[in-house]
Amino acid sequence: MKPEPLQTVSSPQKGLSTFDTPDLPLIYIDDFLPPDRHNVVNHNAESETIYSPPDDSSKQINAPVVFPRTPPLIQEHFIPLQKWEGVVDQVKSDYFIARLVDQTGTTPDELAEFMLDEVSKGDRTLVKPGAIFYWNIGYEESLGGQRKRSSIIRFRRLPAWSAHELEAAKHDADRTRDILNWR
Amino acid sequence: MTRIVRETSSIGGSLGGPPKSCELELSVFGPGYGESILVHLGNEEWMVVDSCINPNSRISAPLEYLHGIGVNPSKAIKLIVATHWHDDHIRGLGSVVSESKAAQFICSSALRKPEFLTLVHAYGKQSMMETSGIQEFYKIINIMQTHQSSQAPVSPKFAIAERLLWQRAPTISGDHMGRWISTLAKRFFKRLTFSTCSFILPCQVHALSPSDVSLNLAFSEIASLLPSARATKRRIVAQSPNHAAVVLFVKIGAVSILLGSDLEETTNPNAGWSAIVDSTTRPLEKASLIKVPHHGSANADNPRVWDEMLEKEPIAVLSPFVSGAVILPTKTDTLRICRRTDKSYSTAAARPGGRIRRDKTVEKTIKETVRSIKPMYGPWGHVRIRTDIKMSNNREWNVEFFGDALPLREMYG
Repeated sequence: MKPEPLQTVSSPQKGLSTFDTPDLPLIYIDDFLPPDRHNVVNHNAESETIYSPPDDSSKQINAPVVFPRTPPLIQEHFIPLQKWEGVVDQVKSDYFIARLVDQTGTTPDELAEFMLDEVSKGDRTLVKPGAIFYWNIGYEESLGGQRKRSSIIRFRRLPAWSAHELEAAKHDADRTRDILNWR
Repeated sequence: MTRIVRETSSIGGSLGGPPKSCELELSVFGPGYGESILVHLGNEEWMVVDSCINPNSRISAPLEYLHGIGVNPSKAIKLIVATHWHDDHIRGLGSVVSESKAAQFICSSALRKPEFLTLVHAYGKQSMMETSGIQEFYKIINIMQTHQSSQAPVSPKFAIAERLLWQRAPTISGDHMGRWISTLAKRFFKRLTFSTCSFILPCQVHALSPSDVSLNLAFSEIASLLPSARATKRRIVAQSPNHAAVVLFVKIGAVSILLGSDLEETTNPNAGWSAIVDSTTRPLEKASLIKVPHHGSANADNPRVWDEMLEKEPIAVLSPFVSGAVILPTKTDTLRICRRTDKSYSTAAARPGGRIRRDKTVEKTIKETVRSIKPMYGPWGHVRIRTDIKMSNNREWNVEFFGDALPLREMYG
């Protein structure tokens, strides 16, 4: 039986380095990084993007030479100094009031007023009473080692209520009503 | 009847021991966000009204206090009242219910509709809604269901205007040793043996609200909070006034207490405080003590309450609220209350807590990002008032300040 030809890895979305040639497939060192190193925040985009490595189970590699890639400048690491979880309490014409719960230490809950301009355009429609967001303060560090102080507000995109969830809640409520004679 | 009020600041924060069997105690705790009240109903029986967390220890304030004075909550707490389900009045109440194996749980009749339980089950399981009032109710309901399986008394009692919630009839009992009557009796009848005979202080706890009109408003509000399929999940944020808050009137012997909860006045004469004052079936005694409603705010003030429901110059206690756009009580509120009685006290100063120390880089970025930021909690304090119920004349009241508690006249200098 004739063996099937070995598949090669191709990364058309990745930029070519000076070592790349169209004929010789290469594999890059970041394909072997652990998953957490792939969680790179792209701060120029409006929301978090996560790079997923190729599915290793469906490929075989025939390129033994590994070259380091020159990373694109937009890829940066975020070094957090302070994290809060926030809940929007009130929304005014150009600002909102939110309650902040410290996720880094044990400082007491705080109440803060944010200008709506601090929220990215893509998240602004999410600013409603009860909306949950994260506020992180820290350093963005480029792979070249440059540091930039940064404040990132990111609203959670929570799933919608499903009919099944609401039906289950009603069922549990009926059960509690019977057990506790809550009537 | 003359009245002596002694004001003392606790030295070193020492709580001392529990009140005597014949002593009434009203303790009000307040960290600037939240409020809790403990009442010693006499005969070693206690009532907890709402709960707040001590921001320093992160423990429910009434539980921490009872343990601190050597009282076992599992036996001593007979009543737990959740006056309403807003976050600031219910934090830590789950742990109180959990520890109080002999207590009757009471909440507003506004919560008896199935829609509220559906709301609790829908939101209670969502981890994102941590620390909300609904989440705390979810805990309470689960604990009550556990108690149910252990045969403890658990079905809730629902408070509505003009309902007697609990009472202890004045009886002679061999089970309860009323120390004061024994002491008195022994003094005069030395040959008699009183080891099997004691007098139990009469006590009644009445609900004065919510009224029928307030209930309907609350039912509508709760129904409107129920999510529909495909609606985005969010944390529940209570926006409306406290229509359905439970106001309590407590009679212990000859002394009465009015606990105003967060009930506000409305334009509808059949709701809010107007409905209570106009009620012809409420207890007609005048209260010597008042927990001032809604942190002393003007919209919870009804002058007729002071004229018709309270003794002249009553002892008034409030807790401040520092986490809103307006800090309560305002200077105007303070002056208004002090004009009505100079025996008015606050659990703490009405100002946000101290500045939080942080990394300089973080501090700088915060300043660049937000318009303002302040701690939700203010200073922590506790006002304790005790009096001996057996005194009929020359009643002596001991008012003690713990933590940041202070007379209201000193709040704004």
